[in-house]
Amino acid sequence: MITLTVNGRRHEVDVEPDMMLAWVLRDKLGLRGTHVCCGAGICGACTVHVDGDAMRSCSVAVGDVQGHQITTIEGLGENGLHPVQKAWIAEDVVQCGYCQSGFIMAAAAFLKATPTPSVADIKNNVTNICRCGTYVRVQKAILRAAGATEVAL
Amino acid sequence: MNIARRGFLGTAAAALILGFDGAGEIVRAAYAPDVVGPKLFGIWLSISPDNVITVVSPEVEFGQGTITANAMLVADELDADWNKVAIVQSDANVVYTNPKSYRLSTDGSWGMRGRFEQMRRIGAVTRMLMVQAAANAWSVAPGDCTTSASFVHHAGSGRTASYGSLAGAAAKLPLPAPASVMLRAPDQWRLIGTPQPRVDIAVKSTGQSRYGVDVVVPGMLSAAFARCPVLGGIAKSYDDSKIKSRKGIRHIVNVGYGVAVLADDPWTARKGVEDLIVTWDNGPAAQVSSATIAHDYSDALANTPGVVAKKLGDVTASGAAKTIDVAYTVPYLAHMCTEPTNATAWFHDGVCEFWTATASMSNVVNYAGYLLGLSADKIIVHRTPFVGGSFGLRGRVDPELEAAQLSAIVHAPVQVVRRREEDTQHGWYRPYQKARIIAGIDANSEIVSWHEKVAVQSINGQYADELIPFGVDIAQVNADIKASAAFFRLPVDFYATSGTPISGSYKIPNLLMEWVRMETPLRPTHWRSVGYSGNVFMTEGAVDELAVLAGQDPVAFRRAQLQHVPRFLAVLDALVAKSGWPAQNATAQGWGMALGDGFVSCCAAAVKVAVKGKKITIERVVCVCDQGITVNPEQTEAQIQSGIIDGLATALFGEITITNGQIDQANFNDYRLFTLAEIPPIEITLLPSRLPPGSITEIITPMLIPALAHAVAGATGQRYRELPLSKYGFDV
Repeated sequence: MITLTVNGRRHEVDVEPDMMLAWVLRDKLGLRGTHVCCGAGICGACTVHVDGDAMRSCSVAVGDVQGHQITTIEGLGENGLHPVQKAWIAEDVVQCGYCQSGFIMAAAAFLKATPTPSVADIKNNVTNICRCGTYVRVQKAILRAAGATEVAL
Repeated sequence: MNIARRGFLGTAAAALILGFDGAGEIVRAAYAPDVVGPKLFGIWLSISPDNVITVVSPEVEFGQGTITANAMLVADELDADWNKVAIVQSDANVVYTNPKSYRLSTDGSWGMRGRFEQMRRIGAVTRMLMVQAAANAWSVAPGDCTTSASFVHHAGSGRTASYGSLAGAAAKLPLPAPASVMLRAPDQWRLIGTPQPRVDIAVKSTGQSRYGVDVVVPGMLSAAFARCPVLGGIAKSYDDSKIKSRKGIRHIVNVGYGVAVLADDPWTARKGVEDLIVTWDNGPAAQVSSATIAHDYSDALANTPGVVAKKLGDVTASGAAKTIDVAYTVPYLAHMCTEPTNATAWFHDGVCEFWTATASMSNVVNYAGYLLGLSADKIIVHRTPFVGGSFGLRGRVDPELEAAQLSAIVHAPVQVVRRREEDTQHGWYRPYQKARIIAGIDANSEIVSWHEKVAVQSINGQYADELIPFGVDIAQVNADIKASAAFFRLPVDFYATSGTPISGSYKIPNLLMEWVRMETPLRPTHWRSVGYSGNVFMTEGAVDELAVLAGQDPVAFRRAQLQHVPRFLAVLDALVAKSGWPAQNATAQGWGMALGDGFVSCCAAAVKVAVKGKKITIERVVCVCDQGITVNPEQTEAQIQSGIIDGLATALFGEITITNGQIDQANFNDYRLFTLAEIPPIEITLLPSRLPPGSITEIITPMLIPALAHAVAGATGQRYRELPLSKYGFDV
């Protein structure tokens, strides 16, 4: 039995400790906003926060995050929308949307660590893959969420 | 604006439900409790008492924005309150068949092309019914009533009524005669042409959007497959001693094309496959590698007579003053949709139900029918609200067939979710292609001859190959497909030559286009723009080389060839103006360009690079497009950005190769896409147009592939006739 704290709630799940977190979140806890894409920690579609840091949940064993605070897209905005989500909506970022939960989670963790990023900071640190190519608007949204006055590529 | 839940139809919440036939003619209006069943007609629209208007979209939403545009078309003619319009997906009723593509599929950029008139007619008819119902209630002339924001008004009496309050009476009215339905003139449009946020932006920004992988059917089992690393190989035997008594594993089934592990949850199935030991019969594909394919294609170009796709004049007596004789090659490409392909099926009580993020309900119904021996009415397709990308792939239905077969075997609902590596290595591919082009210009630098021979697989000839692993009589299926549409009976596969001079605007008096049909173990299918994705690179490459031969600037050279197409001249003029294309020595400064028309759109792109050693810096990308009427500029811009990024990444990195029958690439680490770090500055211009809407999702990508290759050629002084550019050691 594994004890997990997800979005502020404690859960007991009957799984092996080597089960990857993404599958626990989706199939055991029903949190289907987290999506598995590459399954190998490359693309970031499954990004969640562990103690506030971005982690790719397809490649994190659930046994390793017992006792830590896990946040998923469902719990990102504690009181309504998170500023990154507001910026995502304002910039009309998404296309197919499948990778976007992970992109938003990665951007939120990045902005917490780097509240006033340069464009180069964004390009070097937010490494998620979007097959639709939403990147132009992703970058605008991250700058908008950071409160940048000039939202340009 | 929101995405409605499924199942609004036939509930008491809807006061008026309108059914239309495939031509957009209304065939039935009904008060909700009177609806017998959705098979009577296609339900396209409902209006609830609280004035929410729900529009049914036959197109799926895989990112391209079509459901937003479909709703805009209806709402514009209906004078609907855009903030109270909801959207649901249609079911698989044939009346939703696209009136231009004749398929119930979201493909070929047929969305706006097929729906532009139809969806507006639905809005117009509904508005007429609302006005008539109000006029009857108020004993006034319909012509004295006006509409706005889902209300009918009568200025003379000051009366006003919501559509929702009128819907019940409207449902009982006689239907307007088709000829009496008038569509608005463009200057009367309120929504069409205005930038509107996509209707799915909120659910997709909050983790609430649901895809095929999110389907849960009570009692379903999760299936994962061990597949032969060699394409087409068969499982001879397997050893399941490590997993057969493992908790959660329910069945292990050898289905020939693989061994399926069925478990209570996806993780257990996936882990089960890892610990399953299978002995494979590799079959003949083990002899095939990229090198043998390249050799076979070169040999075919040299020695196999082609089928003539088009012949004009005489290429051997064209009077050309100078000629080029060049060979071009494009690789296999993968789709790399972010949502791994998947499907859920339940075969029970003589019917098969599917829950799937398919882009082609036609193919699910038809091919599942072949597999299971069921008529179309015994196959029920529940579409998921969203699809995690398609790029041409999700019209293929392997996971649907696999899930259906397994469901029939284990008598339970079955969900198949592929691993990324399975999608990359056991998928469908944009076909590899080689061409030899001998082209010439006369003394006036006009292109006067073009002899092209292309070797490529036939997409239409392998249109149902997903049925082969199941032992279905594929010859009969192919005969049926051929009988179904003239398109499939053409002697030359349309896709083999689309994007060459025979489909484009270059007017070449002496033209000979030949095709040699090739066969390989890699299954060919549609990939964003299909034939254009490879052919435009080859055609524009040869045109670019002819410009060099003529000693002319590439824009000026193309402009001279396209004097008879005013639309192209306008696009080229805008490209020059927006890019600041240098009048002298543009190519030596790292500028490259390409143009093309297809899917009723017309596009040109210019790329500026700096190259140091093998490091390419993309400094600017300028794209100009005339796509006809733009329904939603907000999403059109997004699609152009998407197409540009796809084209650039594909030109640089896109490649699937095979060694001894095994695909060499598996995941995003060895099939590279762009990330934020590689995104160049992008400038987009949409030209105003009153032509009917054309494609925007497909037509951009094929221009960017050669535009980048030409920029690198200009900067380095060397031609690159084979893709991807990483083959030559280039990186960004």
